[in-house]
Amino acid sequence: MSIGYSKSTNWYSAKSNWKLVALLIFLLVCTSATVSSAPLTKKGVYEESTGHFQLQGDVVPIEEDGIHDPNNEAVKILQPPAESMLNFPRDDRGVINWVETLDSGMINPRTGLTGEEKMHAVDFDVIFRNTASMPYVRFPHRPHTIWLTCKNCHPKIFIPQRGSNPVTMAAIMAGEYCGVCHGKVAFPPYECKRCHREPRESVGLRYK
Amino acid sequence: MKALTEHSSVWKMALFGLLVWVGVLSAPQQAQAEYADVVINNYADAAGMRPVVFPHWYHRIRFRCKVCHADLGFKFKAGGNKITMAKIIDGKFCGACHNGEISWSVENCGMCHSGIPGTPTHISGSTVQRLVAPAYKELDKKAQ
Repeated sequence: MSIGYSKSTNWYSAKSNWKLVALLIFLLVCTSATVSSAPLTKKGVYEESTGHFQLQGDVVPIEEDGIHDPNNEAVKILQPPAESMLNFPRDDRGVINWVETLDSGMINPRTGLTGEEKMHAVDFDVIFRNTASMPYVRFPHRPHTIWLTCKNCHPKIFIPQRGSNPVTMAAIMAGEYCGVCHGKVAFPPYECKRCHREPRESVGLRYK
Repeated sequence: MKALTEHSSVWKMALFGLLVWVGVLSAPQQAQAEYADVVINNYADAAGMRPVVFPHWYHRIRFRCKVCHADLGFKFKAGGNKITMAKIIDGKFCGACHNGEISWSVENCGMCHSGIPGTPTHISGSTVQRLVAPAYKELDKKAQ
C-alpha cells in the first residue's frame, strides 16, 4: 500500500518535473537567443565579431565605441582602429605587441618630427627581486628605448639608482611607475608573465 | 519508472549545461582599450565644443613616443598639458604637426573635437580608469 502510494507520488512529481523542465528549457532557449542576438544587431563594418578591438578579433565601429559622438559628421572620416592594426602581432591574451610590431618592420614610426633624428637604444636588463612569491621581474631597456628616450622616465618616474624606486603593483594599478604607460597605452598590468618572467632561485618560497 | 528517473537526471544535466551556456553567453565582456583613445575635456565643454578624442594608437604607429613626449613636451597625463587652440595655432603641442605641413591643419574642427559632449577627461578603458579613478571627476569639476 505504502509502496503504491509512493509510486503514485513519484509518477506525479516526474510528470510535473517534465513540464517544469520543458518550460525552463523553453525559457532558457528564449533568453539565450535574445542574449546571443543582441550583439548581432550591433554589427558594424567588421562582420567577424563584436566588442572591442583589443580583445582578439573583436571590433566596434568608431561611432559606437562610447566616446565618439555619432552625430559628428567627421566621425565617418576617421580611420577605424581595426583597419590600421588588423594584422599586428598580439600576445597570448590578444593584446597588441607593439615592440614586435616595430621589430618586424610592419611599422616605421618617425624618430622625430621630420624622421631625421636618431634613437639612442640601450640594451641592458634590470632584475627586480622584491616580488613576494612571484617570479622576478625582468625589465628590458631595449624595447623601451626603441620607443622612448632616457629623460621620458629618468629621473621623474624612475630614479636611475638601484633600489631607489619602491615599485608596487598597487602603485602600478594606480598609474604610477610602470603604470604611467602600462594599462593606458602599453600592455596592461594583468599580463603578469610579460614582466614576471625570471624564475626564482627557490620556487614557492619567499626569498629576499 | 527507472528509465524515467534516469531520463530526468539526464534532463537535469542538460539543464545544468544550458544554464552554464547561458551564463557564459550573458557574461559581460570587458572592453580593453589598451591602444588608448584619450578624451581631453579641459576647456572644450565650457567653450561649447565637443571634447577632443585623441587616438593615441594612430599616432604611435607614425611616431615614436619620444617625439611627442620628449621633443614636443607632452606630459604622460591625460588633460595634464592644458592645451588651448591659441597654443596649437602658435605651433605648440598638436600645432607642431597639425599646421598644414606635416599634417592637416586646425580648420578641421570635427576631426579632433569628436567626443560625446560631457565626457570627462580620461583614457578610455585604462586600468586606472577602471580600478581607481573612474572618469577623473576632479578634472571634470575644474572644467566646469
